[in-house]
Amino acid sequence: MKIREIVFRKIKNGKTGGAAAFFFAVLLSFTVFAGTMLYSSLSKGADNLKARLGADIAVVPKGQESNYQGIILNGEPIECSFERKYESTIRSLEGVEKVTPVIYLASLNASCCSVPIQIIGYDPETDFVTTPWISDECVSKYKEGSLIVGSNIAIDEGNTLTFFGRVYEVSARLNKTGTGMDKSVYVSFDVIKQLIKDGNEKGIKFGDESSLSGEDITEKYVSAFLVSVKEGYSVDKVAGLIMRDVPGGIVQSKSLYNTVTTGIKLISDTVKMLIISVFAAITFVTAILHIYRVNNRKKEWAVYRMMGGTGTWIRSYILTESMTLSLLGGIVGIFFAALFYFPFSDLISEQIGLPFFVPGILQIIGMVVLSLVITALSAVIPGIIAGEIASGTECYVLMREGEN
Amino acid sequence: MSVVSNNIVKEYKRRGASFTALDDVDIEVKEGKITAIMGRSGSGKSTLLNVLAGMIKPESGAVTIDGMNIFEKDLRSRDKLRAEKIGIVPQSHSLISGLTAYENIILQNSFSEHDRQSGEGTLAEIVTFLGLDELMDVYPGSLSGGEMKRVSIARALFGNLKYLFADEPTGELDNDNSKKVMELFRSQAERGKGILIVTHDKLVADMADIVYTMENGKLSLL
Repeated sequence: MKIREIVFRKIKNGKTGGAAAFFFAVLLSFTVFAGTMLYSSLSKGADNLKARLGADIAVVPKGQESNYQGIILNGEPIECSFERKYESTIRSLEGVEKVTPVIYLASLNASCCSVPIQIIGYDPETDFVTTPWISDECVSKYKEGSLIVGSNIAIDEGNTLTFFGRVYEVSARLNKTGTGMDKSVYVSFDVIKQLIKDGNEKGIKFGDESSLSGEDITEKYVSAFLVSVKEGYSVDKVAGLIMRDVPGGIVQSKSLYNTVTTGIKLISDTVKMLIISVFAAITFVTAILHIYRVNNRKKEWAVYRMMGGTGTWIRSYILTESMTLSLLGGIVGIFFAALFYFPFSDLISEQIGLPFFVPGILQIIGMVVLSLVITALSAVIPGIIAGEIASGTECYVLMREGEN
Repeated sequence: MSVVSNNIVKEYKRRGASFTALDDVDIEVKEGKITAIMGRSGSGKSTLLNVLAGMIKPESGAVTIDGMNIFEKDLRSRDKLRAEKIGIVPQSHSLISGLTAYENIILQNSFSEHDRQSGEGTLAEIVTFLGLDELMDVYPGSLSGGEMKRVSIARALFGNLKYLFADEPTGELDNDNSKKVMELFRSQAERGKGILIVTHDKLVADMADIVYTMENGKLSLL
């Protein structure tokens, strides 16, 4: 019989005394897998955020800065109005490359959702933020006047969504990004006008000003301006010029991204510390457990030695058994972590409040392998120590001690 | 070819005082012969068996197996030599839990380079002869003391090793099974195996070719 056959037979029949070591391996791999998944999901979310931000500066009504972050990060619906006349003021400033207005409209009665969702209106004539990645993802599907929905928006049968009693065709669904954009609906200004008109007819007011029509909102008022800075110009300097000439608040993409990455760094540092602490603690506890169970099986080692098993054979056996127990525990731990993580990823994402994107299958496989390797490694040193103890004692002494 | 010991001395400490377990012991276990050592409990019989198998190192004296002085070799070489040449039936229960009786028997081959095929051939004979056919899939926890002893004997004979050292092989067996075991040992000796039996059972000793007695660590030919 080969060592691994003996090990598997004994584990299968529960004769290794390794239940506690198995349990700690479950705990370790659960922590490593869930921790690395969390970190990867946040990193991927931040990458998606960076790719989608598009503009260097967002100019929003004074006091709405944090609400703007809420839209981008979590898709929290807001409405705000800003006089559109400032568009030309911003455009004329030195260092400004492009400016586009954007309208944020909170829908109160969409057919898709039990809570208000964010409708993002873009101006097709000047837009440089939304259209590029809508085109990237939906170039063959997009139809003028239709809706494009984020990945988290549920649509009605027949690919439609109803706002204020009017049915709109959904021409495309965007890929998941893990940001607030997944909970938003994208429409051109023409659709915005229609939405507002329908809303007004139902007695719903939009914007800070009361009784604004669709024309008012798209032509006189918008929610924010997104600004791209010319290459070679300082974003801070251009932001300063905007603040001088426009009575609004400024949100810089880099500061928004920095806010996110700072949050992620904090979480990733915590996760790293947790994994290192759990690894160290479990390696220590596992060492004690392996030494204990090896000491309880002195007679077994004596029998192997009696049959001609060398010290190397005993060491290999104990190491194989320790690592197998850990690997099996590792598989179970990953299974439980996956059972906890995947169904509840949206809830976790909401609780954390940062861009969150579950990585792809290859990356997940990588993390499964990493978790198994770390869990198996936690059994190497304990297995070697236990093997040394069992192999270093003379056979006859082991036999006698085993009988006591 | 044989297992020979010359002037073996082994001392133990017991409650602070040393006592001599083996006192200048000479013995030869010859191929094709059954050699028995008789004596009371604590007379040093088991210690001698363990010294001859290379499992206990004596204070002085030499043990040669087929001309090789085993205590001039390191522990690993002695372990390997045992795996290649000596099947051992220990006095106490020695089956590995979690493995069936069959797996316990073939475990012997995990440590040697012996031809597995020929081992399997003789195994069927041995198992049938010892009445173990029905017990091959049974785990040690469900075997009686006598059954465990018979499995242990089958394991020591598996692989057709050159020597068999058995410590009280009939200790937990009834008369019928004791006779069977001795018949089996006889047939194995006739095939050239050198057999050493440590026993306090006179009937077993009577069936041996050469009988020694041991008292207070001293061995004498009967």
